[in-house]
Amino acid sequence: MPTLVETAPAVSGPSPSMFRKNGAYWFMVLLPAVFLATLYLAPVISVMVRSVTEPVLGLGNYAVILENRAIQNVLGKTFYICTVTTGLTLFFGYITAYAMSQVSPREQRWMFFLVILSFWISVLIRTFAWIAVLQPRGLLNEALIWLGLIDQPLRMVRNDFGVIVGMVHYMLPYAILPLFANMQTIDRSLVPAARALGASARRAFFTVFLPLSLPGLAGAAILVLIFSSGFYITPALLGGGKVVMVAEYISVQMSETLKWGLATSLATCLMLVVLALTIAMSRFMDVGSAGKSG
Amino acid sequence: MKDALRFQSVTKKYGEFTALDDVSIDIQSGEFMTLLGPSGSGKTTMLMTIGGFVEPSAGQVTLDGTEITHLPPEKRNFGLVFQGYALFPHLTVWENVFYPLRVRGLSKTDAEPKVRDALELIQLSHLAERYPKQLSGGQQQRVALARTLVFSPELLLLDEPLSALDRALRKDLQRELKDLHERVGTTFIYVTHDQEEALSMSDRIAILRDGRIEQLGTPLELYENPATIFVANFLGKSNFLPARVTGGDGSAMTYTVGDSEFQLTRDRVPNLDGEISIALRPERLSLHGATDAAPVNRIPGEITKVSYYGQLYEVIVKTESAGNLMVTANIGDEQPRTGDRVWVGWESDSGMPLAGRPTETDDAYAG
Repeated sequence: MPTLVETAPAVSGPSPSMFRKNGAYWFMVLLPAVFLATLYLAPVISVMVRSVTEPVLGLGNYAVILENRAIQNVLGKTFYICTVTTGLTLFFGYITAYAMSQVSPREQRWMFFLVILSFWISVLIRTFAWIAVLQPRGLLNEALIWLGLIDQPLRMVRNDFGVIVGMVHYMLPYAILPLFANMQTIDRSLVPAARALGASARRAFFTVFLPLSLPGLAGAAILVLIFSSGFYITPALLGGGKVVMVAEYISVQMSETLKWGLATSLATCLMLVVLALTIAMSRFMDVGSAGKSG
Repeated sequence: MKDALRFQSVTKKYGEFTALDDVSIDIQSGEFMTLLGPSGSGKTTMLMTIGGFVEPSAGQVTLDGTEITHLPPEKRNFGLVFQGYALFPHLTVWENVFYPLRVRGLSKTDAEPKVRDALELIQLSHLAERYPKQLSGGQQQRVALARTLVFSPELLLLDEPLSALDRALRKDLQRELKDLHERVGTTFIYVTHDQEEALSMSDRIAILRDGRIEQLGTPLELYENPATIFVANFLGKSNFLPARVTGGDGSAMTYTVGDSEFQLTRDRVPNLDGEISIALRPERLSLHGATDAAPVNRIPGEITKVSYYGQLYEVIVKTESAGNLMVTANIGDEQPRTGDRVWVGWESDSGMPLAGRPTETDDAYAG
């Protein structure tokens, strides 16, 4: 079949003209590059510079972070809330993603829709909705009292509980989607195979499915950790000033006490942590996509 | 021989759809039984019912007299080899083969000799430390076999295990599987839609269609004495002569195709009348240039197509009364040419009378 042989090289790769580096090509690359540099990179560098120049040149601000008790408390609280949020988000996200990976395509589409739906509602509205549900005279407390389960309303806002509820709710889709994507790559015959080889349903899950979903779990964990470390609105509103996390603390230093040096150095620290986590995540994601193990 | 596994009127319904329709079968211990059928015929449902993954809506499954209808898969001690091998990608070859022993509570040291034997059986001991991804398709399939044979299952269930492999490799593994079956002596229940595979490997074949067993028998029985047009069509190639019964008794029959009358003498001739089909295998037909050399059963026609297949020709002869007939002729016979006027002949002991005429559903999966 000579015709096939003749046309083969033409279809085997993209046309070279696509990569010809002419004026239009560079313009297309340059435009977003300039955009990113002026609106993103420059402010970030400015923040980093301020952290070592305000109020005086030196690492004084970082020394304060290491010594100041109040800041330590804020960092500790942030770490605690983030860890608990991540743990709970992964737990509920894993269950949801697992269910989604097992149901029929039709049910799967509905579940997907419901998960994505929460993206449509702004975090501000969701946070106020949670206040309405959780406050002392809110939906949940009234319902519990009406059912006779409690006499006094439970304190569910202006404390860690409220903040964690709001954050877990916000973060769930960010855990469910990568977990689900990872579970989709797991061969569906593996668990039945394990059972045919003599493993109980529980054993098959823990020895086969769970280990294979670890890359997804690690990726989701880091993603949730990164997002939750920078949470601002939810802890500020649901914490009601009692639960102060680092983002809110930075904002207060920036706009109220005007300690810009301290604010920018904290922001730099936060950025470095997120950067480290991102690098870690990219490694986990690589492992996931290559399907390597051991 | 004792019965290893028995299906008694097993039915499986998914809503309105009946995947298995009142299926009864006895599978004997040590037998190589093939479930053959087109996709959607219920063969995989049947295998999964045996494996314990599908619970029948009605009927009973017994193993050696004990009912196992509702027993979960892990309690059955059956080996199941999946189409995609289903090797655990996070475990090495050794760990994969160790897995069924591990869930049975054996330590690594206790399991070592068994795993080693299983890997030797499939000649892959040198790849024990590799991960499945690092193996070829054929090697993965052999590891899957070792993993199921290592715990000495009572039955080995194979769900189209070779369908993902290319043709040459498939031939090799067919031989290997058959050889393995003889060495280990375990009952093999093999699902395939490949009729050649079924014919060459099986002790017995059950041909499934629309959730029912259409016919059950040895490959030879099914090939030589198909019970229905569907079987004759699905297993090998057949010509179907549109015939009408004109007379006969238990061992002989006369029938007409068009205006000519033909003879059939067999050990037993099914009691049919009216419009029937005579199934004739292409290799049972012969080509003749002159009337006197041809057998008594003969139809004139013209060669419209000649295909060359190495050791034989496949010739299409257009006839007036029987349509196009496919004839295979050996190399060394006089070379057939397109346009030749010939006689297509067959002996009176050839041809299988079958009820009815081929319909589209009979034809849909042919070949």
